[in-house]
Amino acid sequence: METSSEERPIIEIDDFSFSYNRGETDTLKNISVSCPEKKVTAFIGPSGCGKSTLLRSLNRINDLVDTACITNGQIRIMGQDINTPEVDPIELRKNVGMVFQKYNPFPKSIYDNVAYGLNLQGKQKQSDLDDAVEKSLRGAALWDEVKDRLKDSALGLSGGQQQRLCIARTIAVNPKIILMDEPCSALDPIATAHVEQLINTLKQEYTIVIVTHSMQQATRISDNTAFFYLGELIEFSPTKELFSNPKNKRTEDYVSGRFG
Amino acid sequence: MQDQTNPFATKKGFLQTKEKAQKFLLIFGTYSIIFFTLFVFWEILSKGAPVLYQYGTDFITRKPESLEVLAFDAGDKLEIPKKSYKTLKTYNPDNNSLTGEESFDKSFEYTTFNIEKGSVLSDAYLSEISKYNKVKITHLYRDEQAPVVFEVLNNTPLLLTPALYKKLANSSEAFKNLSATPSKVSTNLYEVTFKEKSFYLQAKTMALLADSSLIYKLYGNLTDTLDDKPNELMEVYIPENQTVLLTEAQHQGYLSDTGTGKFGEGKLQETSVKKIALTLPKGSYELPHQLFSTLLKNHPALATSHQHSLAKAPLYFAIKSNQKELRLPNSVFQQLKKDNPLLKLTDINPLTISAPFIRFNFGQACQIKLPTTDMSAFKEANEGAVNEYGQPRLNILNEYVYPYSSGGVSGPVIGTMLLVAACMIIALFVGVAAAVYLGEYAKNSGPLISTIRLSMMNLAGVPSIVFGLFGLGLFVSVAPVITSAPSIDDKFKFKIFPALVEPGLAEIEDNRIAMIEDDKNPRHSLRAAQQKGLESFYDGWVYLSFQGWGNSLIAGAFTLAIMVLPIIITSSEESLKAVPKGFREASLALGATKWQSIRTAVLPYATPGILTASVLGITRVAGETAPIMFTAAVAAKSDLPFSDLSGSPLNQFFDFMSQSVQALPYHIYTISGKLPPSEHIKPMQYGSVLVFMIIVMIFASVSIWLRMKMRGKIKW
Ligand SMILES: Nc1ncnc2c1ncn2[C@@H]1O[C@H](COP(=O)(O)OP(=O)(O)OP(=O)(O)O)[C@@H](O)[C@H]1O
Ligand SMILES: [Mg+2]
Repeated sequence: METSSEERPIIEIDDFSFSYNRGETDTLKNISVSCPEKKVTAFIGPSGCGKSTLLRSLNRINDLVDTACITNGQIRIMGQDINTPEVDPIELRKNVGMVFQKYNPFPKSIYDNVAYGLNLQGKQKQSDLDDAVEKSLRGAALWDEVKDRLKDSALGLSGGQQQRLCIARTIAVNPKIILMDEPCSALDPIATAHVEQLINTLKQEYTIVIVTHSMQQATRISDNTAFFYLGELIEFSPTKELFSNPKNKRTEDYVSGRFG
Repeated sequence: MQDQTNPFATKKGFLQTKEKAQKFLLIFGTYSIIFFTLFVFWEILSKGAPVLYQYGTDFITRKPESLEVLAFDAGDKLEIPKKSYKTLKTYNPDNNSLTGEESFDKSFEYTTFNIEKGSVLSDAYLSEISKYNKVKITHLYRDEQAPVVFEVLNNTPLLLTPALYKKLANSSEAFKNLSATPSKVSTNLYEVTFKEKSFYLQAKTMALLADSSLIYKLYGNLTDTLDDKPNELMEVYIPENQTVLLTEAQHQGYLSDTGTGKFGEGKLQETSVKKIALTLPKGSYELPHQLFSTLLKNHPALATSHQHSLAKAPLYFAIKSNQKELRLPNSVFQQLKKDNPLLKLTDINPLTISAPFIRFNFGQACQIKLPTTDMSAFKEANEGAVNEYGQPRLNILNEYVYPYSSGGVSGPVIGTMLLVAACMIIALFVGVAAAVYLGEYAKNSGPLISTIRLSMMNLAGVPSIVFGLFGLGLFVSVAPVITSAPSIDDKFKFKIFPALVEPGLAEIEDNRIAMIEDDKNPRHSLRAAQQKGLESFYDGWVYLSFQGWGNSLIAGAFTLAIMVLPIIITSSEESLKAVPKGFREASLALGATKWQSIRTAVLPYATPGILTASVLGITRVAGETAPIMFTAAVAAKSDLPFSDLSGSPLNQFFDFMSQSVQALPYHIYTISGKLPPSEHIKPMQYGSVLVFMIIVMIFASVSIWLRMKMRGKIKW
């Protein structure tokens, strides 16, 4: 399970501090994490500790918050600092896809949902679109369930199906990295198992960063785990090590369920 | 056993009374609303519904008209077109002195013919032709050279200038062969100096001075005043000091003027002019039109046979007809042939057309009501008809006219629909754009944005009459227009590019355009147009002229749009905000640009909310009188907005948008507030109000239906 340290990690977070209120108080404080390619990295920690904030910094969706700013450090993806003016956030987001905590398919047909990202990039040939939609749905292990109702509204799907549709929608634009913010928090155990299985397959092709509240989930699917507490990175190590042999007292308390 | 054991028995006391009183007040408040609503609706329904019932669909499809009430003596065998007879029955449902009705076909003698291409004809006949035929007549140009045949009844002595004689001799053999003797005639000219000033002169004097070389600007319409009261004083403005020569007649007229601000007597200058004397023998002559009118002008004594419409030269025209050939009633056709002997007419055939008529009797003297058009058809049908005793069959004792008291509301209804539609297109476009900008791009940053929000909030509270005045000030009188014939009264103008087409003849005459031959300086053109008393000029350039859009559909639509903008912007912004954040984030995370995300993941889901805002907007716009009073509406208009359009589609569109329209609220205001009350106008008032209410409800329900349809499709 040990990562090959020679290869450069695809995401490098370097001494990164982030503020939601123009630098008055830092929500994230001097975080340094690196995520190797085609591995699953999990972010865990108590509610409000800044996991989502860090995740959302990775594809600059936090740009939507007017008062947000980076107060220190940088994030490099594929070696490029993503917060320089030369980086087009739109191109960045095409490479760094995101799946949200609350599944949010558009109120359109299943087909249109998956094709949405491709249609944004201009007119596509119908046959190419059909192929891409099928490939993505297969990739998200949803094809067999929806292949007969592609033109139906996506809102008619079950919660787990909707979340997998969101994953299909994300992989349709062919990103390198997929960010997942508590993808299973609104799902029942069976749907969760489906999605976890999916993540294990997606790992072959994509680098995945996942935020989760479930310790078991983290151990089941991730290669490396980062534990955050009040905006600080407490511990970052291979998952097995972090859970079996935590170096820090607070990590130990948290993973053993002694505080929450 | 129940009274002792019940621990929950109602306790009587002050609190309970107070509670009951409060409840009563609440009930009273609520029910009074229902009472007033019911009262208003009942009033309109009970008085309006019988009107709609009596006049039927006619009420919706007819234009507003005057009502003629005629008192007749008893008469028999009166004739009326079948269609008008129906109207007669509708308007006089319980007149029982109409007896002995019988249908028959009345035949009319027409002549069908074709006019050869390239013919010329005078205006009056063109309007006769378009009256009896479904044709479109384009006025191409006036032919000053078209020959006119005229007859001289007696030998007439003429005194011509050599130049005129030469022209006459060149263009007519008959004149060339006349023996002409040169002679000397002395004339007096007066040199008068005019100083820059505004002053008053009589209309008849101005008519004389019009031929002099004086440069001036006249306020008011000379031809109209001249016809009505030639002694009326008119304001004249002399823009600069000038010394001009006046003829004896001009000078005399000027001296005897009763107006103020005289410049004193002119200096006499005697000049003698060579003239040519000749005698025009009795007979028939042919001359180019222009020469003929010059001749007539200088020699009013020249007795000629009557020529039709000599004031304007004959027109070259193009006729586009849906019919194979043109037709005119026999008598009109004969007159046409007589007055235009050179006109080439082909395929002349007689045609008899019969139309269904009704013959009936007035059993006794009675009164009938009819809309003007039907009444004149009735009168025309019985014109000159006499009974066996030589008395006229139709013996009118008394007649009254009540404006706006008959017909229907089609004009106002269509006008209102157009205004509302145009307004909503503008308002939704601007409003949604502004809402997207304010809500998505500008957020809450900067004093400018908060100023915009504040002014928008204030705008919502501005009384509608203020919007009317604002529209008058901005759209009606200074909005920019791109035109090759700028008005002389515009605020300012500048040249853009050379004009491609000259204005057509009809345009030149209708819009009173001064045609300036290649003058490079717009100020000279303007001065020349002013001097001629015309309203605009054409000098071969297209101008951007800030002259306003006039009282027009487009000005009204813009004014109304600005009035509803606050409603539309605020509620559009609300509905944009109500779209879940998830949609925006999801689409951005998929690599959408900001506008793509707004367009595909936000706007579509905000549409139902925006439509709700339009419901509010539409009902408010449809009902407003004040904003359109000065900007778009007219009380009376004889044509529907669609008729009378010609030219290229673009041109038609501009003409369409720049015409004024009737509007239902303004119509109701006119018939109930502006006209003298009479029993005849009452039905029109209530009928119009009922129609108005129905229309507003239709507008509202269409929007609600649209919204529900949208809601059904889009859910989250
Ligand atoms: N848009 C925002 N504007 C201001 N503050 C925010 C915003 N989003 C989050 N925060 C604050 O930043 C801190 C971290 O929030 P974040 O959403 O990253 O927590 P989290 O670790 O994802 O928590 P959870 O597990 O509950 O999702 C919180 O204190 C939160 O109140
Ligand atoms: Mg979170």
